[in-house]
This record gives sequence, C-alpha cells and structure tokens, in this order.
Amino acid sequence: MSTTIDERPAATAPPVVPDARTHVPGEIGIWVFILLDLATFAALFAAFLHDRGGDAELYAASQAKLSQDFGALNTLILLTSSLLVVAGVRGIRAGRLREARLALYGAVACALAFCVVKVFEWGGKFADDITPTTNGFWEYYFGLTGIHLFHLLIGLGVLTFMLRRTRKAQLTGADVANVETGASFWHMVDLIWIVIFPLLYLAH
Amino acid sequence: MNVTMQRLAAWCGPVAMIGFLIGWGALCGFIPMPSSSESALEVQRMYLDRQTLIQVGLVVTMLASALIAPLIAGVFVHLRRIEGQNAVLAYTQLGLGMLLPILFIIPCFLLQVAAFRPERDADLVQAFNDAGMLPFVGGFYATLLQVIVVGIAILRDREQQIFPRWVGWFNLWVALAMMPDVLIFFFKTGPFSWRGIAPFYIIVVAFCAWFFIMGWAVHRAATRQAEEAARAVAPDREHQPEPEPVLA
Repeated sequence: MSTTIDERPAATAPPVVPDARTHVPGEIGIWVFILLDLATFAALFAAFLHDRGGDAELYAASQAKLSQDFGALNTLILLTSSLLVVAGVRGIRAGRLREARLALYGAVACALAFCVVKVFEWGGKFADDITPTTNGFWEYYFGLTGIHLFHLLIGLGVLTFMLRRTRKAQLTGADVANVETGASFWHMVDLIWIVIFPLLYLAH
Repeated sequence: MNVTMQRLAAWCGPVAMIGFLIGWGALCGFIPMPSSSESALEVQRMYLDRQTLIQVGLVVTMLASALIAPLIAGVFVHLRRIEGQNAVLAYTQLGLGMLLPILFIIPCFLLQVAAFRPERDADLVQAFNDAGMLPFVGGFYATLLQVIVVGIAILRDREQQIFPRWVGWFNLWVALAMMPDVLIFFFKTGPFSWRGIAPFYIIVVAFCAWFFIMGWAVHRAATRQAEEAARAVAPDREHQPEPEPVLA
C-alpha cells in the first residue's frame, strides 16, 4: 500500500499458465479443503432442517421477522464480488495487472459492504431484543451467518494476498496458481451464502 | 534409522481415538453427550445409575489420552525435517500438541470427582459435571493454533514434500471446523451447545480424522525417509554379495 500508482506495474508479460478451460484451478489441495468445508456446512444445514421439522410454527414465526431485503442485498453484493474476482483472475492470467488490481479492490469493497449490511442487520435484531439464545431458529441464524461471516473475514485476508500478487513485476505460474487457489476460496464463501440465504430467509 | 519406533508412534494416534470411543463412548455412554440443559437431579441420577461404568470409562479415556503424545512427537520429527535447524513451527506444534493429554486428563479428573460421591448434593454433582464437560469438549484453544501451524509448515514445504500437500489443507480445515467450539459457553440447548452438531459431532469427526490422517502421514514419511536412506548407502555396497535389510 505504500507505493504510488506509478511504481506499480500496469501490465506484465503474461505468465505461462495452463489452459483455463481444461485445468483444475489452483492446487488440488484447496479442493480437499473446500469439499470438507462444504460438507461441514451441509451437516449444519441438515441439522437445521431436522430441528425446523420438530418445531415448524416457531421457526416460521421467527423467520417472518428476518429482513429479506438485507439478505437479498448481501446476496447481490457477494455475487458482484465473485464476478470481480473472476475479472481479477483473468487479468492476472493475461498479465493485465492494473485491470486485475481494480477488480480485486472492487471485491474488497464488496466484502466490506457485506460486513456493514451485516452490522445493521444484526444490530436491528439486538435492538428488538432478539439474541442467539431467544430460540432455536435464532441460534441457527446467528450461528450460521456468524460462521459464514468468519469465513468472509478470512476471505478478506485472501483477497489482500491476491492483491499483493498484482504488484509483482513478473508473475510466475506458481503465483497464478496461488491466486486461483485464493479465488476458489472466495467463490466457496459466496456459494455458502447462496445456500444460507434461501434456507434461512426464504424457505418455508 | 528407528523406523519401527516411528511407525509405533504413528499407530498411537488412531489407537488413542479408538480408546476414546471405547472409554468415552461405549463405557461412559457420553456419545451422544448428556444434555447440558438437564436439571441437577437428572445429572445426579445419571451418576447414581451408571457410577462404575462412568468411572471405568473415564479411566480408559485417561489412559488413551497419553497415547496422543507419541504421534505428536512423530509429527514433530518430520516437521523439523521440513524446517531444518530453526524449526519454530515444529517446536510450536510440539509444545501445543503435548498439552492435549492434559486437556483431556484434567477434565476427566473433574468428572471422576462427580462420579466418586454421586450421593452428595445434586448441585455439587452438576457443578463438577459442568466443570468436566465444558473443558473436555471446549478445550480446543491450544489445538487450534497447533493444527494451523502444522498446516502452514506442510504448505510451505514445496521442495521436499515430506507430507502430501493436501494434508496441509486438511489441517487448515480442521482449524476452521473447530471454531464453533467457542460457542459452547453460551448455549445450553441447540446446535451450538456442548452436545450440538457443531461443537461436538463435527469436531469429533475432524479431530478423530486428524489422528488417523496424521498417523498415516507420519507412517508414510518415516517409510520414505528410510527408503531414501537405503538408496543413499546402496552405491557403496555394490561390491557386497548380499544387500542388508535396512528397514525395520
């Protein structure tokens, strides 16, 4: 962050990278991580559906108090961030570093916006005397969105790590693989939210 | 080359987990965990009804806890190969990992106090039950950093690949899966209470998987190290009529 814009490369020779259409992005190990994490969330979602079945009326009455607008807004924000991350990875793969940098800064802005929306959403619930211990639905709501928010904060660190790669004078194939690994994590954070939103906010 | 000892150390991890399942699960009957929202009288009833089984189960759990240490030492040996002389990550892993037996044995002692005189005041029995259950399930604070350190060390090892890289990513997932453990103090019922899916079942799976996978990884690394050592000395022995068995 200390450098001026002039010192940062706007473009570099495209690094040698495998064909984007046929290779698995990032390194294989991140996919072990992603599949395990998705399985963890799947277990939590299954537990939620099981417990909701045991007390459908309470869960429906509680769900009615959720703000679908906040949820939808955050869905839009995260989808936009994923699009920007895609643009960032493309820019890095092609050596168009300025473009990649702008896109990734945009993704960081989206992540921060998501957190701001979340603060207002949770703040509104606390103001209405709704807490995680109010009932089972709210325990799941704060727990699932909280664990997701924790993932998103890690993702913010990952985006910063990706941004640092856009300041290198010459990118290697390993740099690109690292950037793809980070992008895969970010898309996972997005994907988890895309399941949480309908599950908690919409489904009856 | 003490490969036999390393293999034994590697096997200690899975054996410790099987000991936990027998002691904590089958004998104590703590899988699923007793509810954290039970009244003091219900907790007392549990200890009165199953006093001896719980006492024996806790003893088995405590004995199994010590078997964690050899595997931690095995992981340390190979992390130090990755890092060389100034093995900061390996020693951090060693120190934090060696706390694990204590983090299980001391909570078991507190539960043994509850089981020792279950006929005393029910509130006291419940208090000792809480004092044992909360740290047994929730005492992940040292382990969290330990698995992160193991993950980082493995992922930084691009040259030797002593452990497979996916094992490094697996360690980072274990760290993430453990995080909901911070919530058990705030909930007496539901998915984030000490018997809930997130702090108990997911962590039991992640934690047990860690001991099986790291046991396998240490076993594999020790075998490969011995093979490399055998290859390194092989050229000098070409003139000898019969090769010596180097493994074991």
